[in-house]
Amino acid sequence: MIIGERKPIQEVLGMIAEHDKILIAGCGTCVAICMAGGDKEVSILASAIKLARNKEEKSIQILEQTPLRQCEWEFVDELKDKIETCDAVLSMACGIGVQTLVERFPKAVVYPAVNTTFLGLPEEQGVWSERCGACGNCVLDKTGGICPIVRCSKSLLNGPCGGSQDGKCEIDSEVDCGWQLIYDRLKTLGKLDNLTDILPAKDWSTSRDGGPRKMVREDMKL
Amino acid sequence: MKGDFEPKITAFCCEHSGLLSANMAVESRFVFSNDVQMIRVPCSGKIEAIHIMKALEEGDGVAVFACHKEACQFLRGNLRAEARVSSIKEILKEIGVEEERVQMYYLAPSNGIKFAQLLRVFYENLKKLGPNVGRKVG
Amino acid sequence: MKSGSNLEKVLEAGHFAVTAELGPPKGADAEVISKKTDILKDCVDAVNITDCQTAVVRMSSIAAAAILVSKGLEPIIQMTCRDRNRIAIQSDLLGASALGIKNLLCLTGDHQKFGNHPQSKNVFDLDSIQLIKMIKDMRDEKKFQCGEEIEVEPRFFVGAAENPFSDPFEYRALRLAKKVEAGIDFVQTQIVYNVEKFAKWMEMVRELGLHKKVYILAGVAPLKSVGMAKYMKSCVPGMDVPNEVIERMVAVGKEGAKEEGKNICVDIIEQVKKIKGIAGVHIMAVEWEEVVSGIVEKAGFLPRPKASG
Ligand code: SF4
Ligand code: SF4
Repeated sequence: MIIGERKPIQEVLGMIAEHDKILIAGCGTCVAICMAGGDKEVSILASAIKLARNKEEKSIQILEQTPLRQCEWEFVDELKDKIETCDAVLSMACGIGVQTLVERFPKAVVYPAVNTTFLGLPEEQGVWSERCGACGNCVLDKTGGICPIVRCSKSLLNGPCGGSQDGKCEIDSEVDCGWQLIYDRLKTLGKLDNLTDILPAKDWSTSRDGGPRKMVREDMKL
Repeated sequence: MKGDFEPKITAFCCEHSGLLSANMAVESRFVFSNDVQMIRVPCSGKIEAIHIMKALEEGDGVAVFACHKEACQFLRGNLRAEARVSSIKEILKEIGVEEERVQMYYLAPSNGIKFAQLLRVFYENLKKLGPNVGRKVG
Repeated sequence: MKSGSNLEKVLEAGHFAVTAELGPPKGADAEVISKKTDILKDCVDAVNITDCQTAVVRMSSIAAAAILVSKGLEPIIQMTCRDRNRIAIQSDLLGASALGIKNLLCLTGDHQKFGNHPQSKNVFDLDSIQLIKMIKDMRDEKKFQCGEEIEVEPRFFVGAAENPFSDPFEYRALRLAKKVEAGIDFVQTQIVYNVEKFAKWMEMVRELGLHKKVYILAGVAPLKSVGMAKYMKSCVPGMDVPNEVIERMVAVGKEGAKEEGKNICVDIIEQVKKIKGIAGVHIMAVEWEEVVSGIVEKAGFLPRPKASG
């Protein structure tokens, strides 16, 4: 899922400094599960903003609503009435949610209250980590199901580099070396042979490097 | 005048410790001012961050009374409460409201005297801090 | 001859090669390079010029190397994958070749996290093995990475680094085999302090027959102080400094440290020289270049062979 993290409140307060009535729009999917922008986080941010604005003697009116998803037209339509009565919207969804609102409600002023951090999973309660960089050309079949693009600090396809020690990456003794993980996994699978083949230079054009990406499925078009 | 200021306090009390102590405190005639609002919860772990925030919007301070660390009836409820309290302290720091306005206290089940003492200290601290500037105006 | 470089000739002729390392300055002062060139000239066969080592901005490796060429000392330019994509690397290498640079060492590159611009974006378009392959194809197939033809190809004697002390240990020799397959001509290893472990790695290297396919130069470095030894042991990932080495440094006290550091270095050279398959040593004394001539002399490597032809 998409992982996010609430922005520092002062930064958010700066964005909405001019507004007296706002809607905080959460999202009930990814960011709710990683506790960055679900209905609970919406209500806490609303409360914190109110406290901060009262302190400045500039009270603010805040509406709250959290659709099940903020990344699809149909789901955000339920926000329409509230958006129309507000000066601005503070979105607590990922960057996709923010832009869905911008596109669906072209007149609305929409600000992000969450930093979208990565695509990953919760490793344990309160700990999330990255798993995929959406490179557009998956190589997990060759690396035992462990992504070299985001789990190796240098995105090496023929790792590990010389900085791998005791299972950790050279950048931080807290960070697992992705290539040690790949090695261990392939060893368990009895497929260490995979590591004798040179993986050729990657075609990054399917990744962000190829420009904004778009997928069209003629078979799915109406 | 700070001296005349009577802080409005919300006290969340876990049924297994805080509340028993609170009852005892009342029975043994430690009198609370009208401005302490007692909220009973089955476990401190049930107190959501938003409950504390809402109480702060309306008042001057929030105290959470929970069982001693290893003594939670629900194993980790009090630890969860502690984590929430500290996350709120972080938020208060960020927006420049005194973090001492939220306090977590640990109690044995029937310690009315201790309860009254802790609440007293909290009350005195709030008096020193003065009114909560983030409190709803009007 | 692949490149016709002095280093290539020395190795081809069966001599035990000696290379050193030179760190370009953190500034635009050409004088620094000239001075260091004078210090190293005549005591080594070629000199590595680091490429923003540890991700700290320094004068470009190729520019510094051009100064060496003009002064008659042979450079080995280092090229990392951290700062350039395949377009920039190929372009720089065409230029380097045009400037008369004939040796090249391909590296992954240290992550920028510990450099002086930790907020920068890294590239890693290629990894070191793909880099080697690209350069070999430029030289031997006269082709750019995309497949287009090169009219006048760059001719490099291509090397790689390998760290026998990083993990997983049992995979390190196999990874070198990949580099050999990709197309290297020589290897310089990470600094050896733990000769025993190094010898074990060489055993695996010989089992794979790699020592017959490429020239292996063992990396060595003189220690300056006990502090440096301890720092390397605990803070540099992939560096193995055994306790005996540290004890030797401690035993001589502060005044004797530099001399003992040199002695240890010469001792290690003597030991690695005896390991079957070692074709030379690479002496890394960055910012202490003046120590190199003494070590080379003590190890009995002077005078250096005059490569002919
Ligand atoms: S290889 Fe690419 S698509 Fe596959 S997990 Fe990694 S980043 Fe994602
Ligand atoms: S230490 Fe491992 S994870 Fe870190 S850059 Fe090297 S190979 Fe990648």
